Amino acid sequence: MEKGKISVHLVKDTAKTVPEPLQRGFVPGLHVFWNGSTYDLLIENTDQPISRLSDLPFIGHLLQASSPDPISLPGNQSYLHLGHLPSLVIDSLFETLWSILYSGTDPLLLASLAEADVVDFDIVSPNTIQIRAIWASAPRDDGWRLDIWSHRNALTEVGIFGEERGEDKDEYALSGVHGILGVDPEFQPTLFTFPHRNHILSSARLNTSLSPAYGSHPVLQTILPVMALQAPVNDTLDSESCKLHALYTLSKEVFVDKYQLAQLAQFQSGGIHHLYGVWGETDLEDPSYRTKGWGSIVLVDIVQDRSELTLELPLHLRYLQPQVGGGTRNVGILPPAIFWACKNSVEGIPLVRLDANSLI
Amino acid sequence: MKHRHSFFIDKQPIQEFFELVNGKNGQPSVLKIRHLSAAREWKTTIDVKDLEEKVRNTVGGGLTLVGLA
Repeated sequence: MEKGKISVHLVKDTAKTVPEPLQRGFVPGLHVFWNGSTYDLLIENTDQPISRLSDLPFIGHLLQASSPDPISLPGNQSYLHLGHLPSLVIDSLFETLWSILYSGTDPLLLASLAEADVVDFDIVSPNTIQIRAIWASAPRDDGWRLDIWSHRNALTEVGIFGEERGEDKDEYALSGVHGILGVDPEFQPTLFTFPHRNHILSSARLNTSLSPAYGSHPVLQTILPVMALQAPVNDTLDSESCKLHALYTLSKEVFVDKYQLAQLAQFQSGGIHHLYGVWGETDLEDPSYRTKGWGSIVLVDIVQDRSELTLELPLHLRYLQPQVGGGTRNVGILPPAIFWACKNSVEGIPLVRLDANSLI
Repeated sequence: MKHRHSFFIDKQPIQEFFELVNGKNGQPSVLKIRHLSAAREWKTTIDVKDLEEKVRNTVGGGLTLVGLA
C-alpha cells in the first residue's frame, strides 16, 4: 500500500512580508495536508489508512475535538485549514517540534523558531521528515547576529544569496556564496538560475475590501493596480504563457456559487477570465453550524487588462449558530493570493501542499 | 541529520557580513554572521531511524510519544 505523506504549515499573519524567492502566497493559519494512506512513522503500525483527524501522526493529538472536517482535493488529498489557533495549541505544536529537534539542533535556533513567520513540517517519505522555518527579516534592527557551528553527526550547509537576473530564458537567478561547514575550507561563489517560476504579488501592497461592508451577499473586491497586471517576465521566451491568478481561502461561514462564478467568467465580468476550480464546501443551503468541512478554496484566472482592475468575488453568508441572548460574531475573510504562473513554471509539478505555487 | 541555512539579502555586499573560522584538530568550524539584514530559511532533514530511537528514549515523556504513537 502506498505510504502516506503529511504536510503541516503554520503561517503567521506576518508571512505576507516574506520576500521572493521564499514567498509562496502564504495564507495565514494552520494548514494540514495528507492522503488516506498508512504511515510507517507509527510505532505501532496498524497498517490501516488514517480515517480520523486525531489519528494523524504528530499533528492529530494537537487538533481539538471540535475541529472542522477536512475538504477533499484532487489526488485523493485531504486538506484542513484553521484560521485561528488557540495559543495552547500553538505552544503544543512548538513543544512537539522542539522534542523532535532538540538533540541535533542549536538551542538558540530552536528558541528562534517561535519568531519564524512560517514553520513547515513535512513527512516526505516513509523514512524522512523535513522541518523548515522562514523569517521575513532579521529579528533585530541591526540584522542577524549568530554563530552557526558544524556538527559531528550532522551536515550543515550555509548559503548567502542575492537576487540576480538570469540569462536567456532563465529569468531568475540567485548569486552569492555557499559551503558546508567543517568540509569546505572556504565558501564558494555560487550562481543558481531558474526557469520561469510563479510570481506572488505581495498582498501587503494590494487593497481588498467587502462591498458592501454589511449584509449577507457582499462582494470581495481586490484592486489590482496597473503594475500588478504587468507580467514580470516580459523579456523571456515563454512569457506569453504567463497568466494571472487569484486563490481564495474561504472559511465555512461564507461560500461561493460556482454557477454564478462560471457565468461571470463567461462574460469576463468582475475581472474573472476563467473559473479554474472550487473545492470544499459549496452547498448553497446549509447553515454554518451544519457544514462539516472547514470551508472552501476558489481559484480563478484574472482578466489581463492594461488599466487598473477591480477583481470581484461574490460571497454568500451562511446562517450562523444562534446565540442565546443574541449578539454578534466576527467572521474573518482572507484576501486572495494573487500570482502569475507560467506554463514551464518549476512549481507546476504537483506538490503535497496547496498554495499558489502548487495549483498551477 | 542535515541542516541547510539560507539567507537572502537585498543588494548588499555579501562578504562584509560573515567570517568562517575553520576548526583544527577535530574541533568544530563556525560561521560568524553579524549585522546581516536578510530573509532567512532554515531547513532540516531527519532520518526516521534517528527519530524512533529518540522516541524510545523518551517513553513516558509525553508529547513526543503521543505524537508518534
